[in-house]
Amino acid sequence: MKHHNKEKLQNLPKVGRRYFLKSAAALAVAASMLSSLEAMASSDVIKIGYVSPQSGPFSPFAEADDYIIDQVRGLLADGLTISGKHYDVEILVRDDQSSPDRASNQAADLINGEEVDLMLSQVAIGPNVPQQCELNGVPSISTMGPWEAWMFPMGGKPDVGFQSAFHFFWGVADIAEVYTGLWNAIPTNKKVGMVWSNDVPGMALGNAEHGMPPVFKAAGFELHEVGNFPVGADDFTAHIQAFKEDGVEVVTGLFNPPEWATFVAQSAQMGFKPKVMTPAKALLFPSGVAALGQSADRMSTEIWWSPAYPFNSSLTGQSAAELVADYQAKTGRTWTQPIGVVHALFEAGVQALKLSGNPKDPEAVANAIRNMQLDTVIGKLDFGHGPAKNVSSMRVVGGQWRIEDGKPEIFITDNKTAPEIAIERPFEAL
Amino acid sequence: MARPLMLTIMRLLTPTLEFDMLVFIETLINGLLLGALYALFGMGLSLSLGVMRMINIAHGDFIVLGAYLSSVIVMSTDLGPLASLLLLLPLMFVIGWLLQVVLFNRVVGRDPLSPLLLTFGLSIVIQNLLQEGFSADTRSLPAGDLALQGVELGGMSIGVLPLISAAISIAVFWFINRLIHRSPVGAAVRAVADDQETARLVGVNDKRLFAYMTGLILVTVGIASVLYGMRTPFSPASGPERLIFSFEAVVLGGLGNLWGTFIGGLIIGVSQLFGARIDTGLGPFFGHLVFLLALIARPQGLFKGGKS
Repeated sequence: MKHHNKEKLQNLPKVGRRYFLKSAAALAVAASMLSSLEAMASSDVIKIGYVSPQSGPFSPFAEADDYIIDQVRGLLADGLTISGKHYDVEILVRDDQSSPDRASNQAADLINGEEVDLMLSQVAIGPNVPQQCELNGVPSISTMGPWEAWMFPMGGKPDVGFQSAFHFFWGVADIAEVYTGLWNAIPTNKKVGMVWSNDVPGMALGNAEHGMPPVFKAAGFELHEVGNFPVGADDFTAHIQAFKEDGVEVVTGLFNPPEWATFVAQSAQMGFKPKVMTPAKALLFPSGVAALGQSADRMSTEIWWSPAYPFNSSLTGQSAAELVADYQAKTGRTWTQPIGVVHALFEAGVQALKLSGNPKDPEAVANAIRNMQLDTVIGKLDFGHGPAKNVSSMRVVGGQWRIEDGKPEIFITDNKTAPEIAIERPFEAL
Repeated sequence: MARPLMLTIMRLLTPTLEFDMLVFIETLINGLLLGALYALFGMGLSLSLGVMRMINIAHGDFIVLGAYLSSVIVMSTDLGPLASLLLLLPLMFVIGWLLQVVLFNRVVGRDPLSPLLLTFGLSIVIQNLLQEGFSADTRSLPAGDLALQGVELGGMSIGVLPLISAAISIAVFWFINRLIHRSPVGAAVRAVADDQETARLVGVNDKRLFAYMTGLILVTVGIASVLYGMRTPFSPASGPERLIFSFEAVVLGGLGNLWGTFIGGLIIGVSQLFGARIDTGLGPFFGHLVFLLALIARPQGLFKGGKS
């Protein structure tokens, strides 16, 4: 190395004085930049952890993640100034591969290894990430699962809540009301066949005391149930036979798209033709609906968010329709409901950091979320006045898929739970 | 939970009403159709056990691999899943032939443990390669309208796709059975299965025969993969479960007995569906239970085994 330098020095006179001066100046600039980089590294960085199922059976919930994280990273490129202090913001994204165990491990790694200041997560597979946060005192906001399926598996009580874990989503009673609203739109014999999956969300929605069944019963529907099915089931003969025998006209339950495809195919094969099919979860995504082909026409489901929602983002100011248009232009894919919800998750996260006064203090951040109100692209979130402590509800309405020219599109048909969202079409029987 | 359980047990035990009889027969038929597919899963395993005395732990992963290859063919050409067999089967044959020449021939016939360990490792390799290449997402083969059609049969409605699957399964069993019992190649195969040393003495090249045999086994696996992928969505991790169903069909029918494997598959399928009538969450459990009971009663399998 030294030898090398000597050689260069000996060569210098040939290069000339001007060149030397220029290079020296460049060196000086580079050195000053280096030192300023060092200074940046030593200034405070807020680390936000984000865990979601980017692969595996639940991956459709995370389909829009890349787009939204890019969007948020762009918005936070200059960092945040909170109480007069400047912070850089780093978002650490982890894939739980649709496995609850892996979600726990990823959360533990983000908490202990990366020491994140705020955790955001999707809990469609179960509340493993918030549980780790609650144990370790890291502020956490999660979404993408009924709040009952988040609170009760974590051992929480609605009137007590949690120290660090917060959640926003609709509750079981909200969606049950949406379903009865859909079904009451057309005349049926009011006989409802229910099929619940044998997992955390299925047990929560299908619970005979706290789930959807009591709401259906109160609305005058007659319930028929054979039993839960194991996730990944490839045969529904027993359910379909019983529903045919009982003359069921309305089918509901909780399915993943593959199981719903199996149920629909087998119903058709066995000659079971209900008037209404309203499964939860299975029909959320255009990809799942497209796989059903024409048979998905007039199937109904809950809608958590659509471009027709009359709300704006607190981060970008975009309306729901503008957000969807931007997503479709940038990715070339059709919009899905989680776009709005994941966007709102980051809206809530950023707002919590801003309100906390000191984003590096876990308690300050948690306290900021406790009574936070925020107008987001999915509507108003209000953690202080939710259905349970630490919970903000969100809007959910009823809708129906229509397949026109082979292209699936969902329309809002029922808005009793959120009248500010306009109805797009009347409900029709299958 | 207890009340619907009691109700279904009573429904199951009182087939006196006409409708309940229909339900009983419908469950039986659907079980047989599902079982015919399980039997086809088991066929390749039955062949490798019967001829090469080799247990292939990666068998289920080969079924999943075949389904993925078919989905790649379907997506990159205009072919449907059934037509994709035209490209898939030759490909599977080559994969099988290469595997035997490069890997399995090194361990086969030495002791029972080496092939077991080798294919166990292979199973993990295949699962991880599939996950790397196709991600952990579930896929299915698009069966289109075929998947929705049913035929009316005396008040019952039976799915067309399961019927086609079962017909293909029977045809494959018939063909392979004929190949082994009525052809010169089959004679050589049976000779090796009976006594490897003597077969070698009379000029049978057993290693080359094994290579063709594994090629043939993967062809049957390819057919099973496509029928499976059209019925049920699959993911890289679905292999081991397929292996269990295959294994149960083979052991239940008697090791190395081809038609025994077929009957074994039917029994597993029927027990699963009747099990699901007792408790919908426990269908596969009842399949395993019947297997266990049959194994306790007849450890050698239901039928005479040995010569495939």
